Order: sequence, then structure tokens, then C-alpha cells
Amino acid sequence: MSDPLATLAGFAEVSPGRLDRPFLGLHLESAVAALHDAGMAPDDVDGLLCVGSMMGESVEHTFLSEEIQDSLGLHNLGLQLGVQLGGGSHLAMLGVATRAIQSGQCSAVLCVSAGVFPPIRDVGRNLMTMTCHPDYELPYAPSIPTLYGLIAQSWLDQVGQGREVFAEAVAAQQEWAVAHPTAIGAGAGRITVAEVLEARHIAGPFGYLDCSIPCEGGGAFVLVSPERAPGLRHRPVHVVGIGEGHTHGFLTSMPDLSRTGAVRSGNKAFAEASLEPADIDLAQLYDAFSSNPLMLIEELGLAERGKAVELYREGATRPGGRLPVNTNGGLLRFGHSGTASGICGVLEAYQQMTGRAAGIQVDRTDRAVVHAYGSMLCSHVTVVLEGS
Amino acid sequence: MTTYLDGLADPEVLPRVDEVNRGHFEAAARGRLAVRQCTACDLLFHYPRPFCPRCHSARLRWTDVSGEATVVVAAVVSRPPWNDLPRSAPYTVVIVRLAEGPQMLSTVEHCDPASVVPGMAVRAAFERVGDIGLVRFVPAS
Repeated sequence: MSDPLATLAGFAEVSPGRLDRPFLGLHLESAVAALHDAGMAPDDVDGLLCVGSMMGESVEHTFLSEEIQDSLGLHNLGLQLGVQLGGGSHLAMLGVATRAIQSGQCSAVLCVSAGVFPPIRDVGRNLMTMTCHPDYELPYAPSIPTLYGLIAQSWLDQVGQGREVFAEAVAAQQEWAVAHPTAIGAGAGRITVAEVLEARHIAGPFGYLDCSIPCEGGGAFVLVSPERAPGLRHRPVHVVGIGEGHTHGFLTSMPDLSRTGAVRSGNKAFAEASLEPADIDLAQLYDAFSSNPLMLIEELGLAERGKAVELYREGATRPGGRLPVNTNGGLLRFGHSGTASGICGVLEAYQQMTGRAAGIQVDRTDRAVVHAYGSMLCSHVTVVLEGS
Repeated sequence: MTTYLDGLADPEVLPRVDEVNRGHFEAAARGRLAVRQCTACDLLFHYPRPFCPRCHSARLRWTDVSGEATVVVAAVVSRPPWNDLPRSAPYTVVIVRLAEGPQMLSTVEHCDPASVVPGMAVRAAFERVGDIGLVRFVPAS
């Protein structure tokens, strides 16, 4: 048993889709539902963290955490902060909350995020201005799949594999998604490797089905001091390790296109948890594109370099396998909710570890790794969770 | 022999020229590839920044490099990133390593998009847009 740093006490998740609900309202409904799940009242909360708007939702939400605090009547806060690290924001937020609890600054921190994802090609220039360098990359008209595709292709070139290995991740994650009541890609039914490979080409090694599905969504979780674990309403799930790794800010500056900061973040998280990758029985890995799960499995040490595809081909990552990966279907098939995208992994891990999965419940999971990153595989955060 | 290109850039997303990068974009308009060099530690770097990313010196000069480069990785774009991009797909976005060291993102033109592969030798070509130039690449031979 690792030393608990902080403990998850409750959660809420908005069903992804085209929601037509206000940005602030999505935060409020997630926050209230998460506190309800944790059995907590407004005055029990002494920390509030949210993720700053990143998809250009509106300048009116510049002071989002203040809006949430005010709307929810949270008057007992000793910590309040908007965090911004792209897709890594949510795990970075979990890290800030954990350290605040460790230090005694807070005893119960509410973490919330919601997001919308406008139709991509209508906002293409603006979206690309956010995700690549506006002066030295944008003029060459790369798309997001192109930028990811350069990294993914570089990894393929290094390990001597072809894009069909990425299709394995899509097919496996769809097996989870088809059984999930709110995964927005569920309706497509089973997807074969051949279907992924035959889908219309987008960029680099990616076809249409290699790309995540833009949607709106979000959620919240409550993190409390481990001393409160005995009184929690659900199985206490402890944060036992957190690590970050930051290698570059723009793709142009990525030191080695086939390696990422996940190596560093994973090593630090596992070291703090006093666990090895082999101890992990569940992984939720940020998967904006189909290349990520395989790359991250290897970067985090869950498989040797070039061997992740074997986990997929032997069925380890699928329902019933020994290392379930992205058990809600992931961003690829559950949905990519823009600003909120990175919260889904930790929410799904928590649901699985408390026996409350909305889709297929894994038999028993005691130790999970959750990983996300911001921008073009720039800012990596790894979290190790352990059920009590 | 300097190769000039035209009709590729989207006028809506041209670089913002400022005091930090003007030397690079004006040199490219004249068919030269200029990158920043630190006078304190000699590092050649691209893209232009106000401080050397290795030693933080602000004493920088412009150095013309050969324009010879090698493709590090390539991605063919079939689906353009926005609806009204002037150039037609497919085209090939690359990371190249300049012979002198720095890496940059660009495109490779004047060849079959699918023929661009890692290790391919390319050389700089220049697309003039108003007063500035964008550095792209074409096959070396």
C-alpha cells in the first residue's frame, strides 16, 4: 500500500454531445453533482479549482473561478485558481489540489471543468493559432492531425511499424464504447482494423477514424484529505503519485519527435507512488489521436518500446483483458470535449475503481495510471491512483 | 540557382513581422535563409527569439545558412485545416533539419507529396508575399 497523498471522494460527469447549455452552467451542474456524490455541503469545500477557457468560449469567462465561487456560494475557500495546461490542465489541477491537501492548505478541493468544441473547419484558423506557432508553423497550413501525424509518423519510423498498429487502438476502444451509454461514438457499432485503415485519409498516418470526436462535455471531482477516507460514501481512491514532464512548447522545438515528456512524468509519478508500471491494472491515456495510447503505453513503461501493439493484439487492453485501456472509449470514441477533455480519464478511472462504471465494469482494479498532456505532446502529467 | 514559389500561402495567416523576426522574413524575400546566431555561445537557432534559448544572451546576429536540409519526418495533408485555404490538397508538411543544425517546420514542393520521406535531401525555396518571404523546400536534385 502506497502512502496516500489525497483521496477522491466524489465525481460527476456531463454526458458528452452537442449540449446547447451555457459554459458556466455546465460547470455549475458538474460541481453541484460532484459535491452531492461526495455527500458534501458548500461550506465543506475549502478549495476551488477550474480550467481556464481554452477553446475561446468567451472573454466574459475570464474570471471563471470567481464566477463559480460566487454562483455556488462557496465562502470558505483557502485556495482558488484557474489552471491552464491544455489537455493536461485537469491532471495538473489534480496535482495542485493534491499538494494543497498535503501541505494542509486545504482539506477538500472541488475541481471542475467544462468545454465546448466548435465545428473544426469553421474555426480552423483560430483553432490552429492556438495549437501551433502563429508565425513559424501556421503559415504552412498544418492541421492538428498533421502536427500529431508528424510525431506519430516519427514514432512509427523509429519502431519500424505501420499505421495499422494505431487502428488496433481504435478497434479496442470501440469495444468499450459500444457498451457505454453516453459514448458518442457508440452508435457506429464494432469497428474493425480494416475499417479504420479504409476510412478517408486526413493527414499523415491518420484517417477519419484515427481522430477523436469533437463534442461538448465536462465534469468535476472532489479531492479530500486522506484522513477523511473512513467516512467517505464510496471506496476511497487515493492519489499516490504525480509527475510532470515538459519538453517543448511548439512542435518545431520538440527535441526528439519520437519521445515525449511522458517518460519523465511517468518515472516521477511511479517513484512517488513506490510502484512499478507492472503493478498497474488500469490505464486511462489521453488520446486525441489513435497513436497516443500505444506511444504512451510505451513511454510510461507499461510495455517495451515497439511492443504496445502486442498488448492490443493479445486482447490485454480490451474488455476482459489484463490491462484495460481507455475503458469509456477514450477521446477517440467517448468524445473529446475540448477544454474539458482531460478530465474524462480521471473520472473514468475513479468510476471503475469505485465499481460505478457507466459502461463495462472491469472485475477489480486497485491501481490505475492516468495520463494527459497539453498541446502537441508538450506538457505531460501522470497520476497514479490506488484503491483502498 | 534560387527557386521562387508562389500561390501557396494563405494571406489570412501570414507571419506577424516584428523586430525579433524581421531579418528572417526579409532575407527570405531576397532568396536567403537567415537564422539567428548567438554571439555569446555561437548557437544557431530557429525560430527567431529575443534571447538565445541556450544562454539567454540578447546579443544575436543574423547568419545566412546554405539552405540545404534533410527531411526528418513528413505528413501528407489530404484534408486542409480550414475551409478556404487557397492552395489545394494534398501537400506535404515536414520537419526538416538544416545542414547547419536547426530544425524547422515547412512544406516540400515541386514533387509528388507521397515521395517525401525521412532522409530525403531538400533545399530551401522562397515564396515572396509582399515584403516578406516564406521558406519552403524542394527536392535537392
